[in-house]
Amino acid sequence: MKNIFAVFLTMILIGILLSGVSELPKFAAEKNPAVNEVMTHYIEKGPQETGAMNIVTGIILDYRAFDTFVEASVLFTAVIVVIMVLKEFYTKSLVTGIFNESLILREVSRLIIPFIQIFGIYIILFGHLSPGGGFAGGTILGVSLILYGLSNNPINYDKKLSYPILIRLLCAGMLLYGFLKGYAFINGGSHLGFHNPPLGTLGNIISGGLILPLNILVGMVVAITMYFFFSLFDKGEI
Amino acid sequence: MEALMNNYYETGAIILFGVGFALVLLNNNLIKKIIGMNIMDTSIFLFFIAKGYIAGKEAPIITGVQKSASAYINPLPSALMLTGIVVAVSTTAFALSLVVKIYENYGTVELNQITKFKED
Repeated sequence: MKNIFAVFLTMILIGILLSGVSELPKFAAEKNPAVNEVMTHYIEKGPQETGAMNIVTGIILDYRAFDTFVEASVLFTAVIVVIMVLKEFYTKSLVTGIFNESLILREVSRLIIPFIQIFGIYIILFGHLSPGGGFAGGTILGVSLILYGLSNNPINYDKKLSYPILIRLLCAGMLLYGFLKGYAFINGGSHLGFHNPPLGTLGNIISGGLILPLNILVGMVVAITMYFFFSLFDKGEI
Repeated sequence: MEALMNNYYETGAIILFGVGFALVLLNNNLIKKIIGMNIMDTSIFLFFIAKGYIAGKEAPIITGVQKSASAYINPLPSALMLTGIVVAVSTTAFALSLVVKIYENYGTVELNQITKFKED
C-alpha cells in the first residue's frame, strides 16, 4: 500500500516537472536567454584580465574565487565531521582486523604509484592551460595515496601518512587560500593599489597571477580529503 | 510532446530525478536510500550543464589564436556545477558515516528492523 502511494507521488512530481521542461527554450539554440553579456565579457576579456587560457579555470579561480573558497570549506567541514563521528581517539591495537598480504599488489603498486602522482601533478600545474585544474588533479593524487594505503600492512610500514602531518597540511592549505584571495579582494575592492602578482605572458606555466598557487592548494586539500575518507571508512583510524 | 523530444537532455535528467526519488521512498535498506540521493544529485548536474551547450561551437579553451565570443560555448554552467559536485560528495560521505554508526549500534541497516528495536 505504501509502495503504490510512493510510486503515485513520484509520477505526480515528474508530471509537474515535465510540464515545466516543455516550456524551456530550445536546446542548444543560439538565441538562448543564457547567452548574455556576462558570457561574452568572460570570453572576450577573460584571457587578458586573468591570464588563463582555460576560461573555466579563470572563472572559478579569479572572477568567482570566493565561490571556490566556500566549496573547499564545505569539503573541509565534511572531513572534520567524518573524523568526529568515526575516528577512535583512544589507543586501539593495530593487530585487529584482517589484512591480506599480497606480494604482487605490493610490488606492482611500488612501481605504479610514482607515475600516477606525476600524472596528477601535471594536471594540477597545467590547470590554466588545458582541461583539468585543482579538483581533477587532486582526486588523482588522492587515488595514489589510497593505493598506498591499500597495499601496505599497517604494522610493517613506518607511518608516512600520519594524522598530525596531514591535518596540519589541510588546515594550512585552507588558511593560505583565504589569505591570498583576501589580499586580492581587499586590494582591488578598496582601490588600495598595492602590488598585484604579475600576469605574465599567455601560455606559460608561471602566468595568471594567483591561479597557479590556488590550484596547488586546492589540489592538496582534495587529495588529503580523499585519503582521509578512505582510511576512516576502511580502518577506523588514519 | 515535440518540445519534450527537442530538449531530450532535460527530459532525461528529470526522469533520472524521478528514478532517484522513487529509490529513496521505496527501499528499506539505508544504503540504497543514499544511492538514490546520489542519483538525484547527478541528474541535476546533467540538467544544468546541458543548458550551456550551443550547437556547433567548441569548448572554451583557447588554443592558438583567440576567436570571437560567438565561437565558444557558455562556460558559466560548467564552472557553477563544480561546486555542486563537491557538495554531493560531502553529503554522501557524511550520510555513510552515520550509517556506519547505526550499524554498530543496532546490528542491522534495514529500516523496519531498526524501528522495531526502537519501539520496544
